[in-house]
Amino acid sequence: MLLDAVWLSVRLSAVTTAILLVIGLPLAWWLATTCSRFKPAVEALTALPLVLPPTVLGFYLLVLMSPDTPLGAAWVRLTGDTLTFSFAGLVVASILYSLPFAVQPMQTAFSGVGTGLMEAAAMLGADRLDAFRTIALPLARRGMLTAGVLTFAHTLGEFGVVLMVGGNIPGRTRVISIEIFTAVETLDYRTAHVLSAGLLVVSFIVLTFVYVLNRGRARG
Amino acid sequence: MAEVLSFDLSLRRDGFALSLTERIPLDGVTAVTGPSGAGKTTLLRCLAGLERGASGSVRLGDDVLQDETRFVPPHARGVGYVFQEARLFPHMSVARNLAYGARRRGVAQERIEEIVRLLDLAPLLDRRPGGLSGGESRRVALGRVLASQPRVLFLDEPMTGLDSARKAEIMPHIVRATHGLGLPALLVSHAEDEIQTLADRVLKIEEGGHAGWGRVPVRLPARVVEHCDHGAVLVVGEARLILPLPASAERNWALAVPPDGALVSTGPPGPGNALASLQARVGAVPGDGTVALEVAGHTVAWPWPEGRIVPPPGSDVWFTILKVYPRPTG
Repeated sequence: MLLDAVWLSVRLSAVTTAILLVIGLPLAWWLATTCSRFKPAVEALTALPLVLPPTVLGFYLLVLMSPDTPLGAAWVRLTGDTLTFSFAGLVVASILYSLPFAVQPMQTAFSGVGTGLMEAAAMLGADRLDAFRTIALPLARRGMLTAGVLTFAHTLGEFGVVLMVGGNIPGRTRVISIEIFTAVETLDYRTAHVLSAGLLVVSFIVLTFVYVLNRGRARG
Repeated sequence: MAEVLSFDLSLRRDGFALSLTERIPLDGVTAVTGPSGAGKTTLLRCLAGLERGASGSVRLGDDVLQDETRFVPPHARGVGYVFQEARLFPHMSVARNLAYGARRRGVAQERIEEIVRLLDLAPLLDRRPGGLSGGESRRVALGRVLASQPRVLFLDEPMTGLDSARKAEIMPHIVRATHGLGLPALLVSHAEDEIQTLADRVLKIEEGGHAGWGRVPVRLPARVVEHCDHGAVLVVGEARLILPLPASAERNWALAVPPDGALVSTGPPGPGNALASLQARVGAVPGDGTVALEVAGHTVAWPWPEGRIVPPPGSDVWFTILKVYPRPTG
């Protein structure tokens, strides 16, 4: 049971991180370089999960993904399973909930690259995609690593959104934090201790890694 | 017949408007001068395609780079742009910086090697931009652009922020790039020494508009005949002068004489701090503020102060040189 929860959390974190790095990259680049008047609104939407209670986000997602809605019904037709109370639903919820942790470090890194080097690359014959690939991406690699690590760690410790969207189904939606909650509810303090200490240590290691990475960036 | 860079551009931004129509021959160096905020850099950026808000047309030779229906992106314009800052790619070595543009434009490795020799970059090839001095960085930035073999070179105050020693270090390299390689260039600058040394014509702009063509610097040919403790001894006409040039200096030079760099007198000059005195002859007086002087076997249009009496054509005068800006010619 305990290992099931750990494995489920790791899987959820890995899938969420991979997807967020892919979709967060163009969004972060756009936010770092655009002068669009829609930028503040998009930035606010991206940062919303930082201030919104997870239960609020979870509630809206639960409503949006229920089989009665077009989205939920389409998913059922496509896969034969509901989006709510499933691993796929948890992934969707985690992507939205961890979005700022992926986008903001990459946006900061891209802003640090600046337009000057991109213009220099263009004047040397590089088109925009080429300049992005050869200049912006390598220079922003630390920001991308920070984004990946923070997204993974943040998803690993998710509770509210997961509980709202996925419930508490052992082996299916019961992630580590919900396992801890269940253990405490049933007075199984040993399990709660083991899992809590594990999350604490992982979080500490991850944050130390991020700070070491950023110190390297400040020096380099 | 040299190709022409022609443009009819306008750009409107907060508190600034650029509106310029011009035809610039693509041979030698055209200096673009004017006060700060006149729009010199903005003009270069518009021509390079870096200002998407600019409307109008730009033609480089027979190629339309921009008009009502067309906008060739910066990477496809064939323009080499040396920015005010070096803008080297910090994650690449100097060698990779040099190869960046060359690879994209299909330039042969021999060209990169030629540029490395020309700008003396060999000792820097394995270094990262972070470890270079200001002068070295500018040199690499120049080399990187030259290695990409552009059709025209834009130099946007390429020596700004450098002290006089660093400037002296990089100036010969810019001369070699523009005149040695025969690459036409637009040079944005308001430094007199840069304009006098490099420019073959001077376009003046003010408040985003055309303010006329400036005078072409007067240049006299000279050649190094020997070296001494103080530099090189050059012969110009029948006179000899000493300039602080290195022993490795080229043999032939063009000495730009700025308007305040020489005195014209009817009698021989007295003892003083002049570099050299040459006998000259007054030629035509075209009435444009200049007097034609035959000096050192050349006829030059020498700026003549308003109100000062011009000796009759055919008169022998003395041309006393006080200051020159030397440029190697090979």
